[in-house]
Amino acid sequence: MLEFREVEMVFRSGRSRKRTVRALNGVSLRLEDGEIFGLMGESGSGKSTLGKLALGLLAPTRGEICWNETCWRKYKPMPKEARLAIQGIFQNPYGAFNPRHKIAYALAEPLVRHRLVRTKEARDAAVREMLRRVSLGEECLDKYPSQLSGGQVQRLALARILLMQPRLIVADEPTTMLDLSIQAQVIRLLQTIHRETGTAFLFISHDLPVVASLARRAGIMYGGRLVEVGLLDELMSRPRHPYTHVFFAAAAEQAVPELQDGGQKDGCPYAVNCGQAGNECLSTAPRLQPVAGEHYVACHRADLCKEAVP
Amino acid sequence: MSALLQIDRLSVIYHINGYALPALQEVDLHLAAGEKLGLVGESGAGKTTLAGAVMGLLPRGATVKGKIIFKGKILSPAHFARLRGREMVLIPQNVYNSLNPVLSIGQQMEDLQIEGKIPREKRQATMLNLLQKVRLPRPQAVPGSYPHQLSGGMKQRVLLAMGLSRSPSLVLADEPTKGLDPVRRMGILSLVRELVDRNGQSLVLITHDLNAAVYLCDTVALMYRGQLVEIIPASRLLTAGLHPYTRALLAAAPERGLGIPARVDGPPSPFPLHGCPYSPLCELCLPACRKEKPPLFPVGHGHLVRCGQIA
Amino acid sequence: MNKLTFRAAALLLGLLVIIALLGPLLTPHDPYSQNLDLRLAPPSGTYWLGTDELGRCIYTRLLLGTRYSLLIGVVVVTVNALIGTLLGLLIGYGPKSIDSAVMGVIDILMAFPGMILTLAVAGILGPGLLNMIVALTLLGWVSYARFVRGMVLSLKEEEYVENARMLGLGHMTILVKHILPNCLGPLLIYASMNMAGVILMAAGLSFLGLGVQEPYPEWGAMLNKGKNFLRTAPHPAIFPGLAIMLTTLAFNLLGDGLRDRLQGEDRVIGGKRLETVSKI
Repeated sequence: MLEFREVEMVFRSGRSRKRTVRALNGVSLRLEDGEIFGLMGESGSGKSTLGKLALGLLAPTRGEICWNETCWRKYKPMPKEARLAIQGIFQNPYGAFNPRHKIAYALAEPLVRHRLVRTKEARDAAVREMLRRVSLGEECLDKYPSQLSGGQVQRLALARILLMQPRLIVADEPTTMLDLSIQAQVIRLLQTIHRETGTAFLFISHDLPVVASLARRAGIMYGGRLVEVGLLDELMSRPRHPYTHVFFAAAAEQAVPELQDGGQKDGCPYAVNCGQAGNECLSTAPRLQPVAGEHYVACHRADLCKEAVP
Repeated sequence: MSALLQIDRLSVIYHINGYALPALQEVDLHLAAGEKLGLVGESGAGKTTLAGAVMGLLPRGATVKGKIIFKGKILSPAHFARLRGREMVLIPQNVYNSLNPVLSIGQQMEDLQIEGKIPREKRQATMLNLLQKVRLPRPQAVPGSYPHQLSGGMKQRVLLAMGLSRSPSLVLADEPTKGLDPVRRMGILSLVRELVDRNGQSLVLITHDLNAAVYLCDTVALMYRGQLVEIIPASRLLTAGLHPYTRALLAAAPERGLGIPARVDGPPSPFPLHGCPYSPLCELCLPACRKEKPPLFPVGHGHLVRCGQIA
Repeated sequence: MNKLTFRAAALLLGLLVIIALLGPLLTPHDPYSQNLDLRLAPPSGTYWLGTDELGRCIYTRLLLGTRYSLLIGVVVVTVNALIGTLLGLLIGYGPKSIDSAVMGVIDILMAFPGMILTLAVAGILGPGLLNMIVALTLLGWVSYARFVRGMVLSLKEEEYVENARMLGLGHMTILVKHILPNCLGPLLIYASMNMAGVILMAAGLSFLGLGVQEPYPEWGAMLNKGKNFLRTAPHPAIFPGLAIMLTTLAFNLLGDGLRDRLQGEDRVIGGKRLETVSKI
């Protein structure tokens, strides 16, 4: 399935492209076939960048990304097979559609371009069938995105990528902009799709209840690094990284300390905020180490955190 | 507790392209001094319009009916300019466009101080003090920086500091936690609670985050399509919410079972000017609900519900 | 900008097009026939706008002159817009290296004083309609290329373009179906404003004797001849001047009106704001 190998992403900006932002730093992660993996963490921790890399919308500065052992990296573009197999939905549903195209065109476009259907009848049938699956009526087809509600447009975005029969869907905060009742509807729909098609999901969100309603395994990101990976239940009951502690405590509305922006180049990104940080935390970044079974943590002091479960 | 803000039968109608769109319908609300009120509802419920009406910041072309009484005086357009920023402030939702990009933070804060007649020699110290209060890291570096040099979270805190600089007695915060990760969300929630409690200020928190309202507020008012449907002590919201809309909202949260109401976004119903606003979607709707708007009915413990099933 | 001015501008331009098409049918006189007995005659029942220094009917010549101004405007703007849009799409969407190289050249070209360069080119090529059109297109495409490139650069970052890439659509599809249609509105506004500038510039060149030559009734050339008699008989200069002014004004107003309309439309189509309001 999808694998990130030591991926690093540096954004350059400014006139002479001298200002750099290291959005991802040595991230390695392997997604299994058909699983829903929840990716959580701070805003700006690199979650969305990882999603864009998986979709081939960005090329990694270093490292490589592999789909079924076919890999792409900086000057080697994403293979077409992977491009078709990995699709995404994003936070702003309206962003997915060109405001000047009607829904009918938008849904059919990828089918036609990739010759996934032979005839006009087959195309229309596929579109109609997909609309039924996301429980929308055919009257949507003749409308522009702006004439539909956010929840409807998000379901249409999902319908469009499902028409491509993806094996992995990168869902980047797909429910953040939706109202609660609409959010529930979209999450239910994602659950159904996962159950019926076995499509894997990389579900990116900082909303713990939403992730918990979908994902079995999850990862926590901080400062461009993956700091902890494991079964979500295990992470919630026995968090080992100090940031994971704080994250889950805050999600449960417990008082948490204010976090400072790190700016650590080499060391652990969390060192400035960590009560336990020692010299090695400031000089070398910890790597993900197994603690138990599927549970991995990137912390030099993970042993100290073992007892401090809140 | 005496009433700081009293809203009487407030209605707001927007006029857009010749259509009259009622945004608020006969809202009655009471806010005691020091009370923290959560205004909860989904998009289009009229939360921001209500805040705009209280601040006198509605767009031109909005018709306002009803009374807003602040500290015992009925507010008229002439009052707003005098009260805004001094007696009441709105912490805006859009942190990115709310600071002038060509002025440094210090310049923008100093303008407030000049208007507040703070003597020149005291300005620097009070500015630092404010920035410290909102727990900005390295506050001494902030006045010299420009908005684009600050992160979204820092800008939000600067706006909070600016809002609180004249110690207003009423603070309206529009979606302060929208889009924040859990750690930052808790940071802002606890900061707002601490600041408001320390100064005994009243707070109106506009949010669609039920848990945030429960955490921060004393009372929660739920709005649906421009009307108040339920007013309930925050501590009772999660367990004792009565209105069918409140219950649908609670049930829809992922942590409470992702319940999908029978009808969510059917064809947009014509605005029911008569009858209960929730009647088109309500499973418990009675024939009377469609004809006449039920009153806000007290059910004890400062809990009021507008529902035909209960009244 | 209210609807009335926009309509007035559109009406005036429609009228000009009709005049350009029907020209000779609307007048009893011949634009070239001289009547030396009636030189510089003031407006009268027979010669509505009077006659020029060779006794030719100014009204008739103005009608015919419409063809020159509109033809030059349409040809120059179309050629410029086509070249500029193609190049703009290419450099805006293509690799950064091409963009930097072409933009370097464009920046240099933009630094030339355009008027003087056009004058020089027109001077070298010599007078004449075709030469003037060449002179006006030689640099005219540059601003279009820059304008379109700017739009493409920002449209490229739009989420729906990113989505199209995710869906594996080809570069041609993305450019033609997703980027170009969103450029057309602003391009139309820009072109209608630019049309006014081109017409003015063409009249200027003819005025200086570098454009359309005697005896052809180009407005700028007419103005040039008329200026010699400004003291004794101002009308041979005033009427062509008015024609130039009204035409450029109409194109400018059209551009303003289009901007109000198209951008108003954008707000409805692209934005969510109005949608939220209607849901209240």
